[in-house]
Amino acid sequence: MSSNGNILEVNNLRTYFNTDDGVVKAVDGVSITLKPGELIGIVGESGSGKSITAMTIMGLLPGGTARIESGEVLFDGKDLLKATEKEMQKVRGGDIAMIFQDPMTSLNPFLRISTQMIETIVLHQNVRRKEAKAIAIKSLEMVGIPDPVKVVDSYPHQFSGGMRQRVMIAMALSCNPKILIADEPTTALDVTIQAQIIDLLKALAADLGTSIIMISHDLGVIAGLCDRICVMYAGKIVEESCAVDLFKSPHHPYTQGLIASVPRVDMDVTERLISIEGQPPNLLHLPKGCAFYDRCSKRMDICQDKLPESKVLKVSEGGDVHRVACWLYDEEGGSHE
Amino acid sequence: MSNKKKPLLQVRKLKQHFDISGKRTLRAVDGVSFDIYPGETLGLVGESGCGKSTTIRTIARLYKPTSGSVIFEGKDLANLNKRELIASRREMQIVFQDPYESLSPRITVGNIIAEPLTIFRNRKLIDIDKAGIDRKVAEVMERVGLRYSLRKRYPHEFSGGQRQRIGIARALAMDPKLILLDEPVSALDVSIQAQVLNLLSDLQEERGLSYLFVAHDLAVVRYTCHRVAVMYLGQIMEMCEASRLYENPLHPYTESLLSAVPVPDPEIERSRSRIILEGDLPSPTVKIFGCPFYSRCPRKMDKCLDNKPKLIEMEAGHKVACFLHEK
Ligand SMILES: Nc1ncnc2c1ncn2[C@@H]1O[C@H](COP(=O)(O)OP(=O)(O)OP(=O)(O)O)[C@@H](O)[C@H]1O
Ligand SMILES: Nc1ncnc2c1ncn2[C@@H]1O[C@H](COP(=O)(O)OP(=O)(O)OP(=O)(O)O)[C@@H](O)[C@H]1O
Ligand SMILES: [Mg+2]
Ligand SMILES: [Mg+2]
Repeated sequence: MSSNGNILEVNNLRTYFNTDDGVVKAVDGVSITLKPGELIGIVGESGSGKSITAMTIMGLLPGGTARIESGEVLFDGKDLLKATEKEMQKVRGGDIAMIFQDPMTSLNPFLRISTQMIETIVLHQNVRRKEAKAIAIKSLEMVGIPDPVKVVDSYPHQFSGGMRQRVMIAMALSCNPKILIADEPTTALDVTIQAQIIDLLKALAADLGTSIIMISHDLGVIAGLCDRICVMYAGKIVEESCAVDLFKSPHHPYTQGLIASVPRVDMDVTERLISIEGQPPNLLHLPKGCAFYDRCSKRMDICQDKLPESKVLKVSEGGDVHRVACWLYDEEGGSHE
Repeated sequence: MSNKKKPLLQVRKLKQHFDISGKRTLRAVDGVSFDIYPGETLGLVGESGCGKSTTIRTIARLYKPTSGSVIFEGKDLANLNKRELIASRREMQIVFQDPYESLSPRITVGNIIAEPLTIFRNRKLIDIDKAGIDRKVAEVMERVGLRYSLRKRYPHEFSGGQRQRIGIARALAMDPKLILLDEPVSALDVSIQAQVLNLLSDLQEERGLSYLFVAHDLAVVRYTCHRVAVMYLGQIMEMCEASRLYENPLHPYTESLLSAVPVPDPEIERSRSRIILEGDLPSPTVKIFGCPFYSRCPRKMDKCLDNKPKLIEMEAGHKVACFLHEK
């Protein structure tokens, strides 16, 4: 762990894609810090760079077109971006594990669950196959798979979607990761199953001290699970704050619009939904200034020309920082509104 | 909704059973009944695989029902000849779930929107000339917020939200009375969802449209629908006015479903208690003699295993199929 108590520090990360049509700045200056046992949420629209941020941290970028333009990913003080593929294999599934949206992308359909789990466990821990199997069974039990001793020898297709997702979480947990990155782990699932998975992730952080980065476009999921939330728009974090503050006093017009545009199950319909007009930006043709400019209801002249820097609005007594990248605000709480 | 009006659509004991390999029968829709009144939105909610899309497809006669009837404007669709059936399609349009898959990639947007009109014109089911079709396309494109100048473009040149507008424009061009909406906003970003939901509600107000709104997101349904039917394994478990359902859910399934929906408010989320269901959905190919929710119900009783509760009206307009509420 680094001296400031962070288990993970992502600094000014930029991941670009070279495409036939030009450079896609998928992740463009993202910084995230994660403390042990902390639950961080990343929200944002489709294409805002959430998954590519996670993939860059895990060293899983698609070869060829992707390039890391700048930044560092400090884990235990070491920069993972400088690690060799062999070192990364040790980290992946060991200290840092990832759960994907579609369980079938990380489960091999032709291998028994036991075989797949044992391989991972043996790779990362100094144990024999027999012990590894016991660990696998224990992990399955932990995620609430009934009758794990019998089930461990099944094939992935013998499970329902919710069960497969839990198997994948069990696999991710089997090596006691310090960090779990969950990329939309419940998006494909029904709400009743989603509720089970969220409870499980909460228990993990509380009982084992696992740090979790939860990626989702569902504000409700993030609100229920995370201590701190980063809002992404067009490859940048436009606002970051503790969860309660973000929902109580969102500052960036995009965050405000996002929160206002979600219908809520606990509220009666009174009026029209507030919608953010326009379309998400085209990353190939980003404007010079703020990427939200043409959809923003509070835009000013400066927003079109100059990119807003991320500014600290508020630091709570507990050290929680509320940041926003918007020309409406001055450093430490001032506002042009 | 006023009960004095005559229902636009009456669905009665509708069943759609699929024969699948191994001589098994999959009961996708298993005896569903409901009415939709003019100007009304009925929501149909439930988890993946409970039969929502199949219900829509069977109502629209994309599938022939196994049994039961669909009565549209007083006419039983089963008794219509082919020509009459096609004519009835004009007034009953579908907007599909996935705006990426439901639009043909090689046809321009203008032609996609004009297609149903052109088919009707070619079959002489509608009195409209080419210029009339163009005017109609211009009108509906404008109405859903797509510039008419975009008509020569192809679907892949549009974003998800725009594609969903294309689907809505195509349905509107036929001047329907009823639109069957299969998850019209599920594939969209939240910021775009609100645009499409507002458009649908404006159109309803302007044109007195009725909607059957299929969704799995209970918050979207609460916002959009006048009445809601909750479906589970091909059957309706509870049905009532939307606000009533959320205030006073009677079925344990509805209760657990509502408690599972996350609320975008950390303080509320943290103090809420959830009903976490054990177990998974049973296979839809296994014939169930009792309540379909039995295997996961936190309040199940012995008799629920092999007796099927009927959908009974508990209070005005509020029906539930559960022995807890049967007198
Ligand atoms: N292989 C690639 N080549 C070019 N561009 C890419 C590639 N992969 C991703 N991108 C672009 O990078 C951007 C960020 O993608 P990313 O998958 O991180 O989005 P996301 O926020 O996870 O979205 P979603 O909510 O849809 O999962 C997108 O605009 C996407 O089009
Ligand atoms: N043409 C078909 N042949 C056989 N089975 C089918 C067919 N269409 C649907 N099914 C099955 O019928 C059941 C209901 O499917 P349906 O698509 O209606 O569910 P749904 O409620 O719309 O689900 P989702 O929320 O995932 O869209 C499922 O078990 C499905 O696998
Ligand atoms: Mg993603
Ligand atoms: Mg469906």
